[in-house]
Amino acid sequence: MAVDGLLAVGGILSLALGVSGLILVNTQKLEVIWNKRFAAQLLCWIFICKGVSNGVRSIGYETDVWRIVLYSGHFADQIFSGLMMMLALIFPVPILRTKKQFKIGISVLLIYTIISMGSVVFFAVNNPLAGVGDGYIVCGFIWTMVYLKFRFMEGHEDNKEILGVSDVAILLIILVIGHILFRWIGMFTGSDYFYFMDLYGGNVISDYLWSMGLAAAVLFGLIILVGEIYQASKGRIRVTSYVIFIYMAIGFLTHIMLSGAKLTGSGGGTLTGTELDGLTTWQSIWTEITSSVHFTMMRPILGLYIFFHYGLIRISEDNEQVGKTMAIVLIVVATSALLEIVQSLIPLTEMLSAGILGIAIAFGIGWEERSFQSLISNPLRFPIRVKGSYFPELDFDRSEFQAVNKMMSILIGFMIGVACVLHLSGVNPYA
Amino acid sequence: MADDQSIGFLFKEDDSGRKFALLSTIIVVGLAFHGYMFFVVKENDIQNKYTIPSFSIDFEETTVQDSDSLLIGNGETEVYSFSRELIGVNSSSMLARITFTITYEETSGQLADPCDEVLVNIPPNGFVADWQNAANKLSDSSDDCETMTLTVFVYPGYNGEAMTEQGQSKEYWETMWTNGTYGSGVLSLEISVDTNQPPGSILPGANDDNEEINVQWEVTLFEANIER
Repeated sequence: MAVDGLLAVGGILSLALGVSGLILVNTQKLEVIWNKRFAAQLLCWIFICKGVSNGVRSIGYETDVWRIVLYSGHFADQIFSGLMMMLALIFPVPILRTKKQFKIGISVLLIYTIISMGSVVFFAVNNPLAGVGDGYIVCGFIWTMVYLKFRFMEGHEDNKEILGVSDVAILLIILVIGHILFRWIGMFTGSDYFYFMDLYGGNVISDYLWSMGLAAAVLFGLIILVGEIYQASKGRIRVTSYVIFIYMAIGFLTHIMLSGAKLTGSGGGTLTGTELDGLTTWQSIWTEITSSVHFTMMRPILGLYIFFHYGLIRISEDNEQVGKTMAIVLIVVATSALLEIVQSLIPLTEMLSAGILGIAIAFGIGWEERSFQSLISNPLRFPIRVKGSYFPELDFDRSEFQAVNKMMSILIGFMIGVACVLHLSGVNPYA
Repeated sequence: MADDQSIGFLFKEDDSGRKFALLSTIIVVGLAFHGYMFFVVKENDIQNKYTIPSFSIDFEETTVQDSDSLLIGNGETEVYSFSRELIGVNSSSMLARITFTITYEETSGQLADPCDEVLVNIPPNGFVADWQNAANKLSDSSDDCETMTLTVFVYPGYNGEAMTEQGQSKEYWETMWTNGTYGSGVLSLEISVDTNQPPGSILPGANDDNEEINVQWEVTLFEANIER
């Protein structure tokens, strides 16, 4: 199925965004406030982890090194989850308001991630400590809180800087849990397609905790939907309102498509494809063009937008070329991924698909030329003058920013090493 | 409030924590609903997911047989073609194996005429079958009028015995045992005759120029019954 190809493309997209983003962060000359600078770094490492996770899983489990695929994918997701929680604690509004709190926060999440990874090594991948659904709850709760605060701030209903904070909170929620919003109705109708979504199986508590994370994600999406419907009724609709409307509307269509599906898959893990057992061809295709597309393509594209539009990465003459190259790579790879999806729906000859790819990339790069400049030239500022109390000023040395990169490099290297050792030991991941 | 350094600042600033209370209440109620659905409404479905299903599979066998004869000249090879259409059974029956029994006797009527040499062979192509099965017998020969038997196993893994399988779904196992691809195509049975001349073959009218070969085939068919 095209899912494997899509996962591979998603992995490449995420890795490209993460690595080139890190280069831009480290080479930028313009001043960026501390929480945006750290957020940029964390987002880059989040995408690198997703790139590793999607990349290894695209190989599939029908291979001699399936343990490496399983463990490295799971570890990468655990680090991804820890990084997401760290991001939520500092961006867009810092919960951690002093350097001491920041260091304690990083330490706690690092210890939590290592314990979580250790539980996989010493117990099983499906033990309750190893779950990654908790990330959805923590991130979703904080960002929904930020959304409510800044979208409904009395006396500031038309302040662009205030509303920009609520916008980025919505975009971050969609970035992390958008694929779950496609299945939100299933939570209330008791549908298999929601309650069996990405379960490992074998441990009811572990699966419940995971499913609880998905349920929380649905609730956060619903709160934002209701909030945006209210704002739209008052004539205060925004671009991000349409984004949440579209995601939730696709949830309706998904229910129509999947409501009758009796899923039979058991075990496997996140996005291995086992959850597709029992789906018809059309239902599988629908899942691909919604959840999988979000999971593999929309995340990097949203990430790119957040980087530039909210000024997490500032582009100047020094690093403009790297920024443009990054945008072009993303557009080209995303375009070829879209073509992959089209090919899974309509059989095309190689000549025809090559022609369409060429035209699509030409359009994509043309779009990049026109819109890249407007995206980077006027990054949205946060309302420090109006609501400065939300944004405490902290001073960090360059070495402290670099320490995060070193820590992440070590953690990912360690993770891959442990996965290889577990493979060589021939351990049973479920026992 | 600007110098408030507590981590609860975001939650209580501006509205004394009302939005935080509202959000927390919605999440607690929503997760309680989810817990009810997961542990009560969906309990059986969830439990079934953890139970590896077991399926008993047994087979109902039938056989169909027929025969034909061919007159084959000295030094010639004739092909007897067999296909599923020749049997005329419904599509739900799967082909398990095909057995050919080839018999002949010396029919020249000449005095002391020895049995002819007959070679039979089934080339492993043109017909979808379990060609790698070690129990297949695809060629034989005789020069003493002995009966020859050739067997082709068609459906891989089928041995007629009931079995129990773990995991997957009923549909999976039904698909496993109803693959109509096996047994499709045309099976060719090549028969070559090399006549042995009688001692008086130098006399006019005493030549042994051909032989009548009888081909009897028997097809074993099966239908799988699968129960959870």
